[in-house]
Amino acid sequence: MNYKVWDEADLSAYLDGQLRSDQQAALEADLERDPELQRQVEALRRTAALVQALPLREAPRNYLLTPSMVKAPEKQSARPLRWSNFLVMRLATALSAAAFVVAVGLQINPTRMFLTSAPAPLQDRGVVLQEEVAQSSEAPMMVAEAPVEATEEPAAKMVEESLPEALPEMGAPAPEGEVLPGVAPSWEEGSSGGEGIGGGGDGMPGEGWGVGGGPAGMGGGPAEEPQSDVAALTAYTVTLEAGICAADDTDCQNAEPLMTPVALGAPTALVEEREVEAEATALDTGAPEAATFAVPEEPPDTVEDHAGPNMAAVLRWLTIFLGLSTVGLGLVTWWLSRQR
Amino acid sequence: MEPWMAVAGGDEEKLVRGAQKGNLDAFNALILQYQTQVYNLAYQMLQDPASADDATQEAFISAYHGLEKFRGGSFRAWLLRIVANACYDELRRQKRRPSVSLDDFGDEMDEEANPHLADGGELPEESLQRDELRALLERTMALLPEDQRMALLLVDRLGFSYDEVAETMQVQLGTVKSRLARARARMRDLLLEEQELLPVSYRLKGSD
Repeated sequence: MNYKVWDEADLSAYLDGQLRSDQQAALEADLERDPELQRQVEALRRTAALVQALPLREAPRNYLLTPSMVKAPEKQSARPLRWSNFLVMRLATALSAAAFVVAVGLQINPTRMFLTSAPAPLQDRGVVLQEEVAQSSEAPMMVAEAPVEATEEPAAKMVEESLPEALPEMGAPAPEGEVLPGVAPSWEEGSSGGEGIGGGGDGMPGEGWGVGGGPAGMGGGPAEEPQSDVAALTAYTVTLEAGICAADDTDCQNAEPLMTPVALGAPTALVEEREVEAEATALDTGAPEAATFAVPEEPPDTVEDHAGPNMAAVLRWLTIFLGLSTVGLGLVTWWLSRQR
Repeated sequence: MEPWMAVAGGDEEKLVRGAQKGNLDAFNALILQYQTQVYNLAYQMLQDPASADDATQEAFISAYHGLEKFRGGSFRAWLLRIVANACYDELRRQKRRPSVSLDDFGDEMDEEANPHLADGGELPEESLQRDELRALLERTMALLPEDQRMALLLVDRLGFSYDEVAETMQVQLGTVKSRLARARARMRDLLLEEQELLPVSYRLKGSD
């Protein structure tokens, strides 16, 4: 007969008569000749007997059910309701947070969503932007929609004031008629070395766009002032690159294409006042992506002006509301989770 | 005579069928039959009289509402499964938010030594000895892992068969055997360390 090494599971099952009959016979045979195995089985048997011998605790009361206890529909629905509330609150919090993020994103970078609905102010005023891109040797590529849209009353006034200075240096023909509104302020700043534009009183308070108008960046004496004029004109559409360029003239050179075409084009338009499909020309001459890129950079104030009543203000309030609601919903959700 | 006592004499299968049809008296007869086992399992698993009381009541209510799910077999295995699951849920909840340290269990259980079971004719010394033995065993069982403790309770305290344990714990028969064997072996080792507290008749290393 083979001598099997019995494990404790076998011995335990043996005590309960749970071994197969052949296993049980084999174990009993081994028990007869193995005192150590006998001691093991006996120790387990006494342990089990000790536990089994202990009387059960008596139930402290009867647990009989009454009809009211088993009906209790509110008790049945209480938990699932609370649980579903928790899920709903979690979902609401997530949605609110997502909306808040989107709103903040719109605040930081207003999309063309607003601009596409905005009318072109130059056309509204009956002024046709004139452009001779061919003359603008340094930056022939673009006159985008953005500068057109960017023109504002304050800017227009500044253009009227500063235009006479710009024209002679440009060597452009004398204006036939009205002055094109829409050139942004402070060319003096631009010509004197790349100051940030847009800081003061021109409907763009608080915006930090630095427009580099330094001579080195524009590469030509006569062109400097017009360039900075146009830089002002495009200040409303200046991109982040323009902001970067304020800190570095070298970067400004890189950012020039965004501004210079407008700079050269707008004064020219002022002078000759020809009817020009400025956008088409600009796009034909190059850098179409610049035109499209300038669009999203429309500053909020311009958006506000052009995109209907207080779009930006509504957005601001919506953002605040969403932020508060996200916090509130998050707290409620947290509280519900604690209840669980 | 209470109405449920009228049906208490019926066999279990009949009571279950009656309860499944909405007869609350039939179900109450089943409660009377099993409440001690249910409460003891809950008490030993949760180590707390109040929690065991709540778990027992909730388990019976849940069982009544879930009676249509009972498809035959051992009713007490089905019933105890509900209690066991409730105990596991409660234990998980307690682990998330521990409120009582394990050190408190021993004292509490000593104080809880149940006066109900005292035999009227029992000598005070015998009663004291039995209470001490109960405290020792319960304290030792509390040291077992939950699954092993559950298997030990069901087999050695409540007299379940292996099949019933497998049904209650929703595990294979082999798992029941191994868990029970490990629980007994662990109990043996722990009790050997406190042999002087055991009654002479139960000494694991007797003179025989």
